Amino acid sequence: MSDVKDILGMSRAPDRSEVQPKPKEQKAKRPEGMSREAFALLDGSHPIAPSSFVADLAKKQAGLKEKRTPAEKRGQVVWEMRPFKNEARQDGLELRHWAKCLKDNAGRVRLAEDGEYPFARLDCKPMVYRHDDEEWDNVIVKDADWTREETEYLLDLCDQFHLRFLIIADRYEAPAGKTRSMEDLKARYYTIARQLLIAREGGPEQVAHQTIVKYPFNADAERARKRAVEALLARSAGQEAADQATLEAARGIENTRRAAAIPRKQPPAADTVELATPVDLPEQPLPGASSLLGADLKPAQLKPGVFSRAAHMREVARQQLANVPGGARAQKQVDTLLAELGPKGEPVCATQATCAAYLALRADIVQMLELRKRLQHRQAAEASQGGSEGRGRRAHKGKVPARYDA
Amino acid sequence: MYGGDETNGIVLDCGSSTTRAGYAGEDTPEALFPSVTGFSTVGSDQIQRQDSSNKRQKTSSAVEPSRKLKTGSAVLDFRHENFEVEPVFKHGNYTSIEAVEALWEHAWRDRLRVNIEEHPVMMAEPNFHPKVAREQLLEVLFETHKAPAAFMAKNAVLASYAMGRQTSLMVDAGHDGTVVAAVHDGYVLKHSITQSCIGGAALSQCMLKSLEAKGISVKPRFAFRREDSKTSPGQFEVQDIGLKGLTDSFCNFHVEQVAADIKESIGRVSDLAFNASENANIPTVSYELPDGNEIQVGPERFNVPEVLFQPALLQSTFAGVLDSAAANGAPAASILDVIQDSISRSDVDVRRELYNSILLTGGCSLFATLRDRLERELGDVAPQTAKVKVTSPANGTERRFAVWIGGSILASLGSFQQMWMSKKEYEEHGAALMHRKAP
Repeated sequence: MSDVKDILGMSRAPDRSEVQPKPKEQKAKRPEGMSREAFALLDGSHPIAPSSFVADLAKKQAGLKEKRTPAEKRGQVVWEMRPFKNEARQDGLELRHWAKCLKDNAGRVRLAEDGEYPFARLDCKPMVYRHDDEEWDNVIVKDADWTREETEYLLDLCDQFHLRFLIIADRYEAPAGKTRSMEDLKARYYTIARQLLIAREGGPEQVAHQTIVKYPFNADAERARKRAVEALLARSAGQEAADQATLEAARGIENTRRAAAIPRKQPPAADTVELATPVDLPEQPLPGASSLLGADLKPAQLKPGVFSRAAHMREVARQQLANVPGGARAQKQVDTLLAELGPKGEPVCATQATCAAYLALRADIVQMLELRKRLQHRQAAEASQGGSEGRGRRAHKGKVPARYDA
Repeated sequence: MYGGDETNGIVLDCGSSTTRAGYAGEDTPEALFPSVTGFSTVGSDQIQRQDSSNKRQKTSSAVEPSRKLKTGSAVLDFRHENFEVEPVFKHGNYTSIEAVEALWEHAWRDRLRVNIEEHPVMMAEPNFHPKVAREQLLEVLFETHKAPAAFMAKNAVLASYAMGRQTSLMVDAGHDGTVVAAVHDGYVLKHSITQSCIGGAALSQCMLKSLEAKGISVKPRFAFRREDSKTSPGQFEVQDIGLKGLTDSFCNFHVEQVAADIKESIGRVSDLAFNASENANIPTVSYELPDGNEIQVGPERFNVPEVLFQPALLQSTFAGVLDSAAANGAPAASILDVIQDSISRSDVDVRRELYNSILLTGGCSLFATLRDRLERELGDVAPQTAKVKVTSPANGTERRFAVWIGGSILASLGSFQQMWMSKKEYEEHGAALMHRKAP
């Protein structure tokens, strides 16, 4: 930036004349004694009101800090009925009210708080755009529908009722006798306000951010909106019920669609999983033989009747387990090994292939355990027989001698 | 904004059944007396009375003595021969300025005993008070009575303030009739004011008619004397004095008071639509008339307040009642119809809010179950999207005097003190300024 200034030949000192001091926004100060939260509730439109409230706060604060002037110095508090002036009135009416006074030793009575009537500043009105003669001639676009008298009557009402158009429309009794709807009145007022604002500020660009200019009043949209609201209110209970039913149905359909869209956990397709069945198990059951297998993995000989494949399978599995020599400990071993090796629990879907595979697996496990046990016995016997090829410190410390390796 | 600052205003509410007067800032009116005035038909103007309430005797012309209107319990509550009684509020408006003045003077001089020149006056007026009548009242107030300041507020607005709302649909079930008006932001929406002639007066007459149909005659209290019976000690004997010398209006006024008492003490609004023929065997309640006669009231208990919801009864069971009742000239409509009519005449945007804030006040709202029945029935006929809520002050006194209490609240607000119309303003701008100050 600075070299730009060099190029242009301007001095480097900052130009004070261009910087306009921004008007400092007056922030209302929280009176001490009022909590922060309570003060935050007040905004600019609610000035902290009557003086007695502020006086109470001051008293509380003063009492805490022992800075109060003692009663003898200030005077005794008496209340007197005194006339007061109300600055918000123009006619000088003086009504009387009880006012707090202080009576000092000499008997002179004076007011405790002197100042303007605390409620006088609550007389605030919103700004109503009014034209004068010159503006009527030059600025306001003439509308054939609105005479000057009627326009001024409307502006009087806006003033009186503080721009509450609902009441203005209710009390509007035009001199010419025309009936105007609320949208007509609003349209006329806002048109005038817009024109006046633009004319007074010098041009549309300066005030482009103001609400009146940015969003011009659209009477047709208002009328359409009110028609819609009226239609909404005019619906009968039957219509409302029918609508609710339709919405419910739509919601139900929405829900089912959503549920269908969630990818459900598919069971693995039969052809992707290899069921390890022993080779000699028949794929298709022979005609005349049942597809249920017995403990010996051959088609079971069953009495005629209806059998559940899964139940039969469990029964057979139990039989297999019972046949295992070695008792409960062996059975537990079978179970743990099964849990280690195979699927969790029984087959989900009890088809011929899965049941056969399951039973075959169990039979294999049982067989393996038996073989292992025999092996251990043989090893133990071997070890106790006396050492084989050499005793020594490291002879056969649980290791299978090389000759028994397969 | 809502701080109070009392300036010792006087609040006056001349209603259709009673007049309430008292000091602003208090919670109940001090003076309560019927809104009727009476005058003597015998040439009393020539007779000088030591009546202290007659300081301001109208100078009677030689040709026709003007009648002096009197009011108050001292005048009305005892046997007063040749005395015609007239209600001040008839057909929705004040009958004459003199009548209203008589009420004012009784309130200020006899009951409150204040010098009105020292107190600003807050007056409650009917929702549809014509501008001419307003100006007349103001003229009398400022010129004759020299009040320092005055304000006239509509009934509906004051009752709404009494219940703490600036926007509401005010249902005033009063003596004269039922008046429904929408209040928005503290202003009455004139186009939404609807009336029905069914009110306390009509209901009292219905009760009277149903008693007469059963053969019971209701006698005014001064028509008989009850004395200890000489023959059987401990018992009362009723001696009939008769109605000689009493005017019809006077007798009717007192008979209606008895009927009103019956209606108020044993009348109830039934929870569902009441059919007299179906419920003919309802258990009766006994009521003792002033002359000691004990009557049994059965279906009439529910049938009479039912007229509020079924005005058709006025053609069938209670035919002819409306002619004798001191009711306003509006058509007889059920309270539901009046409410819906009023709301439909308001702007669309505000209707839902009005349905949500219906306030029920007035003498007839003292029927205990009226509010529940009204809320339920209105919820059935109102649009589905609008939630109906009917509120009523819990306290019976607050229901009856809601307008007065609102006036008391308004006149004692600090931010109201700038809104009085002072005598000086009246002298400068004339009475028409009130239309600007209190639209």
